[in-house]
Amino acid sequence: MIEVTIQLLSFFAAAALVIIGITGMLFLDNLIKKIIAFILLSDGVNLMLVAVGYVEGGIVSILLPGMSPSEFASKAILVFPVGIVLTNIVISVSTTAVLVALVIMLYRRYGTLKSSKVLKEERR
Amino acid sequence: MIELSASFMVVAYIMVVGITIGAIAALLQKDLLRAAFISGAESIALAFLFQALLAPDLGLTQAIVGTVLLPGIIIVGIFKTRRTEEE
Repeated sequence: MIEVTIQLLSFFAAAALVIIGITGMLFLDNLIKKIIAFILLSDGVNLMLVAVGYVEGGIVSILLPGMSPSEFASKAILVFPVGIVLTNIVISVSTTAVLVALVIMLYRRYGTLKSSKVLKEERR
Repeated sequence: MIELSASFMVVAYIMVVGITIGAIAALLQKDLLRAAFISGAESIALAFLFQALLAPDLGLTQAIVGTVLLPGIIIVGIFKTRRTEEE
């Protein structure tokens, strides 16, 4: 019997988010819905990275006064995934802004939000 | 007195269910404005899960960015285009 920890639960949630995000980006027809699915996918990847760095029974990665560096290194969660995810959250915002700008330009040109209709107009 | 890790476990259970249901519900809406708000609610559940995973700095960033900034950008896009999904 596997013991259920926060790490295991987070892996399940991350897998669900990635599956829902990829499915939405592939099969939904609305362009705004595709952007929301992209946000969900990025959230899933962030959650997986943070869950990899989690240490069971650990402490928050802050070096308090009176704590020796070796004690800190043995107890604290991994700081490298936290740094990556902090960057990734900010990058995801700017990517979403660019995507929304592209969708607005597509709507002005074709007058629709359906990607199938946009592709049909484009091929003609 | 409840132990801290046990209470984090309860938070994690609730938030994992909330994230999954919120992600599915956000993509099933016909109204795009409602979908944007539900994705914001999913994002705040993710922020609580980051707190339970002992990364409070990510929790703060995700709470602000995912709840205010991302739905705000999407709402600007919705008001510049159209609100409902067309048939």
